[in-house]
Amino acid sequence: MSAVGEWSRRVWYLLNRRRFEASLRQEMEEHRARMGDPVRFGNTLRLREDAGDVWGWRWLDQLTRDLRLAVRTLRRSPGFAIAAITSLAVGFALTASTVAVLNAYVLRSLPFPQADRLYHVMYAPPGPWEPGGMSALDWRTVADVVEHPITAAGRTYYLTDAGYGQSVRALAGGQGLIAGLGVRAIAGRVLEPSDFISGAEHVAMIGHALWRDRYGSDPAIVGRQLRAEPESGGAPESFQIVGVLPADFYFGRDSTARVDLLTPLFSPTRTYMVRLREGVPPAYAEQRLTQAARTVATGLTPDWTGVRLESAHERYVGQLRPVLAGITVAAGLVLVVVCANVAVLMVLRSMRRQTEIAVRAALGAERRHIARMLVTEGALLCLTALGGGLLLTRLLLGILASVIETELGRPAPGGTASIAVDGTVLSIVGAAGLVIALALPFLPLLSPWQRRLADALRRSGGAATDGRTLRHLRSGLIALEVAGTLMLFVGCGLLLRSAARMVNTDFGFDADRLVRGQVVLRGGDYGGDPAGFFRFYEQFRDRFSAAANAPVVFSSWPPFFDLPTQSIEIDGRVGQGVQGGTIEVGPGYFPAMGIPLRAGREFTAADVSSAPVAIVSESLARRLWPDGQALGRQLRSVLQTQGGSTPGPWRTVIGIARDVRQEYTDPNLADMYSPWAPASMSRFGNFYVRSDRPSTVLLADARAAAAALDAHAVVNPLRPVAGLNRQLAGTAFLTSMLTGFAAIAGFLAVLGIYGVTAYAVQQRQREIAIRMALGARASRVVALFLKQGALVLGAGLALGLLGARAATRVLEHQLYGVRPFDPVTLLAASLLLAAAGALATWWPARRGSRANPVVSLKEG
Amino acid sequence: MLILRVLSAEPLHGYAIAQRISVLSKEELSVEEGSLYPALQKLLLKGWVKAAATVSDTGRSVRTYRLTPAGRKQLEIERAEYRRVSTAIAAVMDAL
Repeated sequence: MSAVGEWSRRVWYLLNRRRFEASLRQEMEEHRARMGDPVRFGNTLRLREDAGDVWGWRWLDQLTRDLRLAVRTLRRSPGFAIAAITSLAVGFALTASTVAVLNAYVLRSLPFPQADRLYHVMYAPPGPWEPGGMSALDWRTVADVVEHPITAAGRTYYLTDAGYGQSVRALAGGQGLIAGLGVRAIAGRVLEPSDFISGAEHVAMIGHALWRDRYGSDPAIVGRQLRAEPESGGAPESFQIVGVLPADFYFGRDSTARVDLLTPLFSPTRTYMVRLREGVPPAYAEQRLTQAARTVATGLTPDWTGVRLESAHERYVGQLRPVLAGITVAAGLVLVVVCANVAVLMVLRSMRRQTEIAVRAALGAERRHIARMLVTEGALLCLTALGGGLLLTRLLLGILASVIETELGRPAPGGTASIAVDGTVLSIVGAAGLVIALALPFLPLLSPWQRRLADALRRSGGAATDGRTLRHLRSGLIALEVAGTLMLFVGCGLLLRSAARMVNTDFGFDADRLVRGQVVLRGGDYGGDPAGFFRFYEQFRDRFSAAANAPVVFSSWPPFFDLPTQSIEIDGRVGQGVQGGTIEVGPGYFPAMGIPLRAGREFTAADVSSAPVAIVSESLARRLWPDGQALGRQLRSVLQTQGGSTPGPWRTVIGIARDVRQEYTDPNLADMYSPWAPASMSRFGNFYVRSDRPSTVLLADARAAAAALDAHAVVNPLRPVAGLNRQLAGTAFLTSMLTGFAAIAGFLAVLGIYGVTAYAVQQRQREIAIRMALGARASRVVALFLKQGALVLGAGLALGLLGARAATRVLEHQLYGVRPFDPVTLLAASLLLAAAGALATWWPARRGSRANPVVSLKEG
Repeated sequence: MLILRVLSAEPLHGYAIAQRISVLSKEELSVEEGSLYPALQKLLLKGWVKAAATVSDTGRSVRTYRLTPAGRKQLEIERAEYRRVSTAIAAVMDAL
């Protein structure tokens, strides 16, 4: 007979059990009645059970019975149940949330098929210099390692098919991009090899967002013509839409880099991404690529380090790894503290239940029965908490996923929705939950069975003493809690100190009320002439300044981002330049940014067209002219590019400005300022204004000023300059997370210490009474408990310090101005925890010492 | 096998099965209730018999068991197996 049939009958039996059992009872009764000798028939209940067992559901009966008993017992002590379930659920929720974030960023691969074989190609270390001729590299010669070169070039278009053009992000991609990224079409088709033959009709795939927002997700878009005007000017181009890209397709820095139009690439272009063949080690591919690059490269320097590959996933999440690791470790510690705390509660509870257990044993329950009861109870508790915790996580992530993305400064590779409880999260957290659910309930069983029973029976009704094993177990758990909490306190303290240092860091300029804006022009409107942009910016600045009643200044580079460096050399020492940051700023920049001038004067409008001038930072002035005579001297910047260097004009120093820090760890404070010039303008203009007005009002003013000059000019929303400070924001995020975690752990640890001491005091009430009756003072009794508490606390602190030493390494990259093993932080965290622990011991001990000895002795 | 055999003639209820086996074996074999009912449950589980509710002569409602086609097949298998083994045993016994 087939197993399926057997199982279906089993399930059928389970569903119709009552009927089956009733008819079995009836036929047995009939049998017994007919036999005429009822005694010979035996125990009908036993017979019925034996017959029913054949169906194989006995374990289910037992489980139901055990669960019912467990639910009933837990309901009798709701305080314990609620405390244990809530704290465990919160612990699970924290862990699950962090694992979900970790999963979305680090564990999941990028949303491309076999994304682990996608690599970025770097032809030289990051910097301005890169060997030339790379677009001529023939990828067929390295086909043994590279499966597909992923070549792309971005362009901006304006759609002209309906009224004023909407700007769209177009990407021209090679054939390798389609295959290498596994591009799919959700309607129509992907680009095919025939589309890449030059002279073929222009075709394009349309991005999901553009398709949805502009064309209402109309499937009839496939086959339609789309007219678009290149941003740089020139004749409008026409594309035939052949397919629609999926919603999660992106190409660029992060997953928000949506592609609106994907077109075939015809011009030779450098390839910055490849898909390696299966099983090819990146180091070997680097070797092969370096060889291939050498054959076509122009302007190679002798110290060229060769081609390097970086995993696409690593480039995406590499920087976030330390933050994520920090939060995950912290959440793990909270879970450990929570578990230790629940274990303490369980052990204390099992002590209080000794009499009940002894009575059960006396009534014939075997040891394994009682073990099963306790384990079922504990498992029920943990699994309820696990379920609740996961539900809580779902709710939390639903609300917080986008906040987390903003705080981490990078959207999740798979989109916001990928920060969620998925199979991986479920299996990781579920496995941890199961281990805890199985391990926690066994703790109370560790005490020697025989002794406990005998003890309990001997003192039936009264409080029993606890064995040494249990006492040690309790102390160990408390020490573990203290250790975990201390580690969190230390981590939190280190970050708080770093954040404080960051806040107190003087950047050399004043970010208060300073906002940054960007105005974007259409290149085509100005015939690609930078001087045209410049004229617009000047007029825009004057209009907007008047409207906002505050100076508006332009500059080529924002604060909090490392300045591009060039070699800066002085007259008489050509070729021996020092590396310095270079930035072009408009007139009025220094007062507007709050950068004091140490000597000389500011740029004026006249400097734009007069003989070239420059302002240098104090550090640069000191390095170039140690004699202190910088004003009036000559210097120039030299831009190093492939195959040589392009020196700028000689400039006369007209002023010395205070040093400005671009980043917290800015290694180079030598900066050269030059006046903004028509020749170097682009269609993106970055301006700054300091004003008390709300940014919406300012934005309206800026838009009005821009619209009066050029109907096509777009002013992007204004952002506070302080908000550009990602390092501080990241530290603040980590600090707030860790502070929350540390607070939970601290609360639980104090609660645990309090509970254990209160229990010990209650146990030893009789002993306390005798001591006091014999003349001991209350303070002596309190001291007794404090001494014992101090031992456990001390052990926990020592363990915690060792743990902190190892764990704070995770934070190393997030710290600023503080070393991971900072004695002040360690001391402060230990003292705080010790004080809290001492208080939690002192309180119940003092209450115990105040009880009336006569009453205690009578009751005992 | 014995239960299947007595059920192959007609559907019976539990007591009748025990009676029938006892009668047919000339009271040499008696099936204990302790093994009869688990065995019946097992046959039900295997799908070799089906149970139907009927009213007995004493007015109680009891289940009578009926052989299914699968049960009939199983009976044939077991009967063949029994014959094989008993012939073999007989051969050994007669040889000595």
